[in-house]
Amino acid sequence: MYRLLSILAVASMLSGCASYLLAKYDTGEHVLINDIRMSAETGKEYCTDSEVMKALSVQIYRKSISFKNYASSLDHNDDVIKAAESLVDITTGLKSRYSSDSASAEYCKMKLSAIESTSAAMQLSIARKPR
Amino acid sequence: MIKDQIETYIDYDHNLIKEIARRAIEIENKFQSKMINKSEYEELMSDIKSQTDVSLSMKDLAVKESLNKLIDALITAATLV
Repeated sequence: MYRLLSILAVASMLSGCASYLLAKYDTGEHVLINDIRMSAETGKEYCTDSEVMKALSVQIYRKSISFKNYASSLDHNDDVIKAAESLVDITTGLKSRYSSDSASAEYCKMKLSAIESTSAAMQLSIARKPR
Repeated sequence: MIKDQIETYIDYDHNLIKEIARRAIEIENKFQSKMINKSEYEELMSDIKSQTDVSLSMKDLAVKESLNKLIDALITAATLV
């Protein structure tokens, strides 16, 4: 047991803090989720303008797909991948509604709030990943 | 009646449960006051499930992060033996 721990200790000392159970902190992943959060946060002021929202809904959807694909490329990142898939589900609804018909301003505000709070929760966890 | 039952969960001592209950009530109120239509209401309610899934995944991630730190501490301690 001590021999195993000693080997792990040497490995740890050589590489700094190690990550055994999950993907390490990744700047690209953090930037992408922050971008989705910011788009949802700042988009609320345009909820009464359906033309702007039509473009913004596609943009947020595409960003969520980009985030999911990026997260999927990292090893040991299952929890973030699962969360990214759920975030895509939420953004798909927004994009579909604006591509087929207009949406109410209240729906828009609540939907963007859901995207904002979900991505904020994800960002918090991603920022705490081991360096 | 159902709304009253959900409202009791707002005082529940668990952040996720509290947030779900608060959001469900908010969506219900907007629908009752006709600020959102039926299909918007259904979509926003189904988003709660997706948000819950995200919260649970992030909770799992936090547990792994804590365990990772403990393993690091264990290894550091072993080097001192």
